Amino acid sequence: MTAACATALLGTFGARDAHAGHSADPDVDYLAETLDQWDFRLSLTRVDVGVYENVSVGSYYWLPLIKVPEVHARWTFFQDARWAVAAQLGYMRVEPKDFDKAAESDAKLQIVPFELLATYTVRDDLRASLGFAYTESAVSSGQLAKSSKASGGDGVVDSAEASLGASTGRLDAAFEWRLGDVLALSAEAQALLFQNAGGAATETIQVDPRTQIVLHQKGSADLNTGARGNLGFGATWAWEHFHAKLGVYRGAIVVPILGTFLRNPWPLLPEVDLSWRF
Amino acid sequence: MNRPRPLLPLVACSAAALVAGCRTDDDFAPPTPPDMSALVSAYAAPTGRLDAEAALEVVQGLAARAGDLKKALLLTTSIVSAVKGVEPDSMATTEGGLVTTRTQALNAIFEFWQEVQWACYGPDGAEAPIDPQWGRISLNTLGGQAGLYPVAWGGFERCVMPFEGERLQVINGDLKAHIPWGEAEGQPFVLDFDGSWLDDAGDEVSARIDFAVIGESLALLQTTSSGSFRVDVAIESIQDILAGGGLTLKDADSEWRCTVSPGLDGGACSVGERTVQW
Repeated sequence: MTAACATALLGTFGARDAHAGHSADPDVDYLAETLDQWDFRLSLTRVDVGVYENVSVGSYYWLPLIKVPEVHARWTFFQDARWAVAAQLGYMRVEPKDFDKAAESDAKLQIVPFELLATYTVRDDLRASLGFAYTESAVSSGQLAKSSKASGGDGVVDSAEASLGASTGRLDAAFEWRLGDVLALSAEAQALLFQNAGGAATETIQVDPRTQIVLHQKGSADLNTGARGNLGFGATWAWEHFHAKLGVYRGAIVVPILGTFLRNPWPLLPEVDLSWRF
Repeated sequence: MNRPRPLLPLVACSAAALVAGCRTDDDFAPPTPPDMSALVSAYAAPTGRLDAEAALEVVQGLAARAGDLKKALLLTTSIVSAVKGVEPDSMATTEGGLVTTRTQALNAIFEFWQEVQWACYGPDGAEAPIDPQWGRISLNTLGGQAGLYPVAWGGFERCVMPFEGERLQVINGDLKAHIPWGEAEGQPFVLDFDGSWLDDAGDEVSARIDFAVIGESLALLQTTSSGSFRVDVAIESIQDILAGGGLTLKDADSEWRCTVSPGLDGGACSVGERTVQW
């Protein structure tokens, strides 16, 4: 049951985020290209629109619906007969106060995914892409509640403030083989380059009436989850207004937007994406 | 569209770096502790070799510094209260727990530093209400996975303490302390003060003193023409050191037990079969 639910969620939310929404048309995610101006694409998880020549913007629309703003933009800034190069930048913010007005915490999570992607057209029916994706996530706690008892100690924490951050770098590779006007096969891989985290905190502790300690702490860590990469194969049917992708992949689960690599307990995971173009 | 447009990737990278900067560790850059290694070595390993001439020189020097011993006792009494807030045992519930948690979960690098502020007693002693006008003692300490760094440093900020009955002492100046915890266990507890205090007439005079706390004794380093010697005086004897009594004198080879006459103008030291008289 758990596996089934997880599979359904991963399919819905696009665990292989950078490659979701794939179609046989050239303006897809793992290729360094964008939607034509004023073209819309609505998938199960997100909406994108071409807003200018070679510039598109979009959002995982279900996130703003739950008060989590998310937006991303892509610009194909170089293109010739063989090469296309694009950059994509996103932004997402989560604040507890958006969910609970009475929340005391000023905590804020901000995520900025960035990707640089190049596509080479080997033949008219065969294209290869290579991309580097970097995601930076930062959590700042703001001022935490005052006068909480230090855990297990005699001191009273007068105030506390903390910030945490994580960064992930990965390499994306994809091959697309078009078998006609509608059908394309693809092979895609993602490899983790680095995944680390750092944090800092400052606490003011009243040890006794005469003694006050301002404690600063910071640390960094290599977030080794044991997940190193994944490899998947898919087939995409791209009709004029409706696109469908079915695929399977093996290896790490990559958390959408966040870019974090997680170990995948299942030997194979399905990938499903549906989208409408208009 | 054949023109390369390098601006967007540059802007995108800058935006990612900007948000990444939200969690920058630079805000938490620890201060640089002073180097006390030479002074600690001097107390741990005196260079002189005791003979009658050196013994006379050392003890006469001690007589001239009887006031220093009393001030050292006052300084020690003052900072012991401040230091108790930063000793490893009292920190176990704050940083200690965090170190354990992080190092279990991650391959982590962790460091912390703390600023301890202790409110001085003022004219009415320890039981009096805290009043900022009586000054404070500030100490900084650093630490990491290996525990606390042995040097604490800071200073007395117009610190008012009771001294010899009804008299008050006002201490102002910088303090460095080598505290033998963690990896420094077994090394001497050395303090180095550079500032001012009130003399016997109640006038503020500048003063510089370094001394060590060895067990139940205070130790001064006496430099003579034949090298340095460490003189350990039992704390209970300090107030009346000129009345004679016992002390310990450490040279390059041995720790001598000494008996001195009133006025410190005569005495004998012995270790094993050897005796030195002056």
